[in-house]
Amino acid sequence: MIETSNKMNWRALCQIILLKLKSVAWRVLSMAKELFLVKRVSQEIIRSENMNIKRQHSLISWSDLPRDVLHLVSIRLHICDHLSFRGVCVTWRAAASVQQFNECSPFLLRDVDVDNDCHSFICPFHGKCYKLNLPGSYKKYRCRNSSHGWLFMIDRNSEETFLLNPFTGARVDLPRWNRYAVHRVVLSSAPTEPNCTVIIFKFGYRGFQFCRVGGDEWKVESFSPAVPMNGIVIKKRLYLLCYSDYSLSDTEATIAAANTGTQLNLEFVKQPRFTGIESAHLVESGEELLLVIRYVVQILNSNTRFVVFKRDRRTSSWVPLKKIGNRVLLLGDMYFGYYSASFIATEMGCKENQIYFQYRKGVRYIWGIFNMEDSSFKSASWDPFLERANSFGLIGITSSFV
Amino acid sequence: MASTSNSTSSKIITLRSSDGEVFEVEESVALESNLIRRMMEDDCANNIIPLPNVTAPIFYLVIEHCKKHAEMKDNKEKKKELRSQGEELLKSDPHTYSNLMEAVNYLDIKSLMDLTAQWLADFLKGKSPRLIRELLKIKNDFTPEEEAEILERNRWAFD
Repeated sequence: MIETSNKMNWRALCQIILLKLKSVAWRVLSMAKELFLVKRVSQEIIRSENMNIKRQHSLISWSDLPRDVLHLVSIRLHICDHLSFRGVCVTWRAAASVQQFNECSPFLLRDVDVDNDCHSFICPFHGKCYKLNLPGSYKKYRCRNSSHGWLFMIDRNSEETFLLNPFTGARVDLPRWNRYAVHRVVLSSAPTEPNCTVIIFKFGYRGFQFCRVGGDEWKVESFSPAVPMNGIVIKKRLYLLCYSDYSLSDTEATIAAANTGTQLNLEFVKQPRFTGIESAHLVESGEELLLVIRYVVQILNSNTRFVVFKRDRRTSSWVPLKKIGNRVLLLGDMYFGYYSASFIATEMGCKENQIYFQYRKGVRYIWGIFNMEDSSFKSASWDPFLERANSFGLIGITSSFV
Repeated sequence: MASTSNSTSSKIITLRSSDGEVFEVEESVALESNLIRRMMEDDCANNIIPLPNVTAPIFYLVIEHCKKHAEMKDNKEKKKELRSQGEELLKSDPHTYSNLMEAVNYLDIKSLMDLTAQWLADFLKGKSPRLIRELLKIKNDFTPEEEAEILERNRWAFD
């Protein structure tokens, strides 16, 4: 009896244990299931969140931005930054055309840095310096002038002469130029355009020399009494600056123009009488032709002053201007190739009514700023001549991709 | 300055972003967008105006900037504040910035377009293409030949 009851007990016990085990197992299983489910659900949530974020963010990336938007950014950049912008990716390159910078950003070019075989380009208004390795070796060439964004280059030994666009590396060969100093090179247009004429003014020469791009020799045009030292081409019209003592008639100008066969009209503009003149510049400014004269007033210290005239085309006379408004002028001296240019001050990030100019003080060059408003003058806070005190000044260029 | 205090008097416009979120915006702020202005002129103003190209987080940013821009007029400090915020966003989350620019362009908000473009231009100044790509996470998709040509043409080294 006892045995059977014992057996019964055992069986019951076993059954109970089994049941318990089952329930535990079930519970463990369901817990595991729950855990697994929760995990799956949370993963799904995370995944969907990820997808959401991804979806939002994959809407647009920098290279998908509309062309207009990218263009708006690119036009706000100075030329060097503009070039960087174009080097980022295909869409950015397409959005920022190079043409928009034609005749826009000015630079000062320091003569070839022989040690590094590179050119230093300096922002005339803020002094920032950029270095550019020109394609090929230009150690043996000397750049003495610029026009339309192209550099006038001469080989130091062989007199090989050509025009070089420092930004595109394009080169246009010219007839050999003898080694007489050049003080002004004027192009009638970009050399890539048809009928471009190169006009050179040089020291002590009664006239100018010229050559058609693609031509094989330099031709001479001289005027016996008049000594045009400086000229400028505006809209197919060559303005020649002459001293007031000399005069040339319109017929003589027409004959001279015909002689050159350059399809340019010639006009002589007389420089008004003035004492203490240091230099005179013709400047194209928007639709206007300006004459800017730097002179020195000898009171205690010699003070540099400027006077600006506007050409009245109707009466062929100069009208003095007290202020130049939202303009800033950039002027070089003869080592500068008498570079002259006018820019909109706010676009260049500088104060209006100012003239930036290079001048010589003793053996050194100084980069000065003249304020038209109060006739005050100061040196620029940065000194482009500091690095190489004995350098040949700087050449002003405007960026061009044509 | 006064625009925040008399907000109750101005009309409220309801807009829906592409992911379905609904925004209630003061009319004066909403009308900064030429797109919304045109839609209202076409008499869609009584209903909710849908904006299928703009997500909620980006739209939120746009509204914030619009509000601040309205306050910023003749206030130099606010101008500085907004500018530094824009620069901060550009540095910390350039991706969102690009989306902000896209949205501003889509919504046709001239004033904000000029501002965001100027901030980006200032950010890019003095940086090489490689650094720009790195900072903004842009893929270099030039072919090796194109890349070589670009390098050959302008080998600028920044001081």
